Amino acid sequence: MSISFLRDISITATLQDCVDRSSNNEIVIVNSNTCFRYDITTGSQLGSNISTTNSSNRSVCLVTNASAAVWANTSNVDLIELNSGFKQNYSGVAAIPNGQTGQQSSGDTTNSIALAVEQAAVGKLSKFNGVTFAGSTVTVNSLVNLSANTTCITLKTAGRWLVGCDKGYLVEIDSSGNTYNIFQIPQQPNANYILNQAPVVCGISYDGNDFLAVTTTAGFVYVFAYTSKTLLYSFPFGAKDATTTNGTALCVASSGTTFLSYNMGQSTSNAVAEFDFTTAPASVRDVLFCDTADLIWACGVQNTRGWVLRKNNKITTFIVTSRNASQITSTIQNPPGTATSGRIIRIVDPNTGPPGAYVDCDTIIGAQSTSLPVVAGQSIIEVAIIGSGTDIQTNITRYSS
Amino acid sequence: MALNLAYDIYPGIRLFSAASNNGTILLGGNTNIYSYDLLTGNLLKTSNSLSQEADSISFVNSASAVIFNGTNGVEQLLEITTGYLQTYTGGAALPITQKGQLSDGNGNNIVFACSQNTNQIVKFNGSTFSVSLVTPSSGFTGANALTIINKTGTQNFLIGTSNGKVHELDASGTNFQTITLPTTPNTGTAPTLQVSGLAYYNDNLFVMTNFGIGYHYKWSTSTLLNKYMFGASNEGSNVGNCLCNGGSGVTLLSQNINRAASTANNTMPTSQINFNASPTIVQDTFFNDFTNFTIATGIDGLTYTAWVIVGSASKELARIYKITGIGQTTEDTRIQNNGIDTSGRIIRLIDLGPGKSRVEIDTNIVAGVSTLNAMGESNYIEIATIGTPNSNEQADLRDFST
Repeated sequence: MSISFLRDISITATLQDCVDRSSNNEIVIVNSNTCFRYDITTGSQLGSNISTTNSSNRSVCLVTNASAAVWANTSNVDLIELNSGFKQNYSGVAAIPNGQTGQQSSGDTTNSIALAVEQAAVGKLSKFNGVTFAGSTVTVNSLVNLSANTTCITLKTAGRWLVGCDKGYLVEIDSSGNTYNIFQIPQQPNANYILNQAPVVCGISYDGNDFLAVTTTAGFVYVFAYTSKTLLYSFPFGAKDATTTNGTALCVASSGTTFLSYNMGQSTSNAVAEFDFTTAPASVRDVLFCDTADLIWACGVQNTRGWVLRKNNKITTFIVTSRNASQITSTIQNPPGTATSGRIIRIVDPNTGPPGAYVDCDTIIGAQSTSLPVVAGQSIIEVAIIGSGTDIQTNITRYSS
Repeated sequence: MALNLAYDIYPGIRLFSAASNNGTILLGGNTNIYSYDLLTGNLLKTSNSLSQEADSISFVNSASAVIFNGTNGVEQLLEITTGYLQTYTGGAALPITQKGQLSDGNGNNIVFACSQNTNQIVKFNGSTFSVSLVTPSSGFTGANALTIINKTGTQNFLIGTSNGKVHELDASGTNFQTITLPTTPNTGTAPTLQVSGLAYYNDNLFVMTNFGIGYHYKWSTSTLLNKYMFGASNEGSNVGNCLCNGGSGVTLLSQNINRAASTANNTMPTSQINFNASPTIVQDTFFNDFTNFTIATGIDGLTYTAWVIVGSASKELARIYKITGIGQTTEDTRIQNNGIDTSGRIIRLIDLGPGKSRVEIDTNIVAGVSTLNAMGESNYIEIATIGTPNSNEQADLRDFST
């Protein structure tokens, strides 16, 4: 529900990327030839600078909780043991096309696999296997068929990644490139002109409970119900797209909260928004004004700590207080005993009487039990709807969250 | 609930200002004013002998408009149907040009305009045909007015300033209320917010700023209901995104982002925004086929049209849209139990589709028919409850369209 500024961490280098080190309250940062570790809360550097093999680093992600892959504009990748600083270089991967843009690589620490985008080749990703210690490339056949290049990537769940593309596509894949789901970002919510190219996906955030937020370099935000692929909401957010890599950044969600960063060339200040896309309509909870015109390249959140990577070698860190939400399961059955897909609207009734009721969640769920968030400690009126018009069927229940 | 292209107007001059009223739009550029029928797009009248550039236009009444300029304190009154012009002095230059909402009328022959003089407003009185400078009463200090709208349903004005405040003034300049837009949290230095757009309806105030952040207030209590980030550039446009006054709780947002025309899939979008209830919602977005900065927007409730004007020398364009979902209507409701009218609770949701329903009305009604306000051309879900929650509560639901 709020952001509190912690501090700016200045590093004398041209920073390229940053990643949270889970549960250690730590961020791992790379510039073109060095890897750094910092404590988010204290702003202190952890360990010594770690020189990398390459001098063209562009992205970093965790392979395990103890090691990180540093990707560069070359066909090899460094694996760095973070606590000791030991590094080993591996070949077999492909060059990373863009630094300073976020979500160019993503690691599955459960299975010790890291993937990175490979924009220059249709449907290709680079892969580092932290079990076999081997680099390789992965072909996503569904993207080859769509002639789509990969542009950003984030882990969905262990063993599964979400990959954004330059033709407006987003796919769920495993580490072998098998496809499990395909989305296409709508060309336009209100089509009157056919623009000359489909949107380029530049940010992905999945909340773990069926909500998916996607941003494009054209500066639009889209929120989907993941299972049903229903577009719940979209709005123009704004992005400076003088280059296609400086889009609107997103990060992995924490309790439904992600961060949206401005990249618009404000001459005095850019801003970061705490964005909760699990509510209906999606809501900007708070806005942090960053007092420089530095572009924001990437952002992240880890429990109650957030960060943004800024131009001019700064990491801005802040404390995040998310709203107090409960996860409550809903299932729609018709006939009784048979699950069916339909719409769930959760209305918070703070006074258990008028006025003051408001919609907290409004989404389409699939034909299965689905966990959805709702503000905790409240009286909730839940409406389930299937069908429409004269065929509409509804059910209304009240419960406490 | 949609925004669709109607037609484009290419007046052949670079546009600097526009205003619409009851089916007529006035387009101002250089020393010209063009009058068009919004429904048909037909040119009604050309007035090409202004003594100054038309940097802001506002209707005084349905027959006349006043024109303001960014470099001198001269105002010209235009009789719309005949093109007759009358010049007045005694005002001040606008503080900025190529921006909408620099002036507005209150429907009672008074027009307020922004002034380059700090702490002053230009006032045109269409009853006495005079121009004067108004110094607002307490609270309006150290700033220029940058955005002016009529407070819908009243004869007062809402004034957005260069120091992030919004004031409510009456026609004599009495300041009734002031809000200061929040600039926290920040990383050490608070930004200077400038108000780039305002819209007001039924105690809901929507404010846009040069930082591209929108604020939704319950005006009577100065309560901040929610924020939005829409993005804006202050590198190319003068202040930021455009808004128009929302007569029915709907406004038009035209984004001004620092867009590179050469970049694939670029657009300067226009969005239909509904702020009649919290949270503010984007109903629809129109992807324009241009990346030029827009100067002003408007909605005409008579013809159900909306418009934006483009402020580029290379794009002399007024784009006219058909807009739905802006009308106001009523919808009767009643609660019956076993065929007998009874009192109870009505929760009425305006339903813009999954993810976009909002509670518009939450009230108790008496037994019998109750008439409640509703938006036109909209879908609703209505829940009726009787009894005591968590005890003997009964509920029913209906959906309807207006």
